[in-house]
Amino acid sequence: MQGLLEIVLSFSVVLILSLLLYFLGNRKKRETENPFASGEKIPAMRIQYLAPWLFYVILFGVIDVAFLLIALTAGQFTPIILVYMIIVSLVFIILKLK
Amino acid sequence: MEYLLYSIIFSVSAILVAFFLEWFDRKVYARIQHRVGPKITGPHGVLQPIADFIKLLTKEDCLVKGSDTLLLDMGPVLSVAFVLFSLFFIPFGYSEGLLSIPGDLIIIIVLSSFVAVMILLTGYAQKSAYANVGAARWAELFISFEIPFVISLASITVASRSITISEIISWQAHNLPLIVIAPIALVTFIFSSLAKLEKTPFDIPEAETEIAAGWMVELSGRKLAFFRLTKDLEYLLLSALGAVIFLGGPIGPSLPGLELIFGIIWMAIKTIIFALVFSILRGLVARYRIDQAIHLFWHKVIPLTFFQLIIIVMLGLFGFI
Repeated sequence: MQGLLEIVLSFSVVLILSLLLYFLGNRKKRETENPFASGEKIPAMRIQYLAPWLFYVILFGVIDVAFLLIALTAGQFTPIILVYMIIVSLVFIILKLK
Repeated sequence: MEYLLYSIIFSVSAILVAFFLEWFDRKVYARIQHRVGPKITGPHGVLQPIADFIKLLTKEDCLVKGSDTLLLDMGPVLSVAFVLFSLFFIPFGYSEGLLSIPGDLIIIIVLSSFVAVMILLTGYAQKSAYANVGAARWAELFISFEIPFVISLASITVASRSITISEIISWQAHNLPLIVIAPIALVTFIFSSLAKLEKTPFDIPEAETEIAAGWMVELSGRKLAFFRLTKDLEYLLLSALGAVIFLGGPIGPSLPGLELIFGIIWMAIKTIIFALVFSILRGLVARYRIDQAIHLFWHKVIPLTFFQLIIIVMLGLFGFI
């Protein structure tokens, strides 16, 4: 079993390795006016999302962070998690009411 | 210092193994379709994924004006980092991974969800209707497959009474492999993993014939190379995770003094078995529509996972496990 130092070190290694590989690639950028459109005349635009879907996806992500916190505290329900859960719940209730 | 060196060696090896698995997947898929698959670069084309990766890295980065460049730069790097980091928790020889902490199974679940969010943001960051539709489809699929994925793993943790991978392996060493106790969880795990990997029949977010390449349509050069690498690493992660939680990972008959070598061999065989299952399923079935996929997950797969969980709890209550 390892401690926090090894976790931070491992994540730093993978992040630096990924960044190095990414910056090794061709950095030349080109901007185009038109997106790929399979021969159709589709302008460059963003389409509207269905907001509830995004809301639920973000909710999943946030709950996952709570799980991460629980996992890192070895399954103990510490005050940090409690505070996090309360803040998150309040934010989501406010967002949902809006 | 020694740990740092191990981390670097492990990361590079994981990337190379992921490329190997991509080659394996392409070969199996090609054989199912009576094709040869990659055959030119390296012996039997084994170096083709590496060649593809290098080629994409050297290509120019082409973007539609108005796209969110920060998100598009962040997404590929963080996705690769998250999946690569998850692999640190998988034991590839010993019963513990390079990193082993209490609750590491949950960390893998969380990191894989972060990758999903990165994909969603990447699709949204592009100023293209196809990419946006792909991202929206991914969001819909994500909230359908994530629940059975987590509950199938929950069945395993309830059976082995642990959320730590090394303890799950040790439980299987002293009892039965969890594939015997939780066969339904295995099926639902495979379904959810196929969706997570965007492999047929769940390649809906990047369906070539419908929305070009979906959320990846405007990606090119190093961004595309990184997302392809992310998918390869996820393929390795999910195959290895399946091997560990259902088949006991590195557990198997070995000779005294050669436990590590035999551990690596057993783990490799079991990982390949899972990779083979994913590839064969990909080659045999046709793509679902998004509504069919959502219906399948919510009406069939999720009830099945709950059924499995109830069975495991009952077995535990009556003292069978």
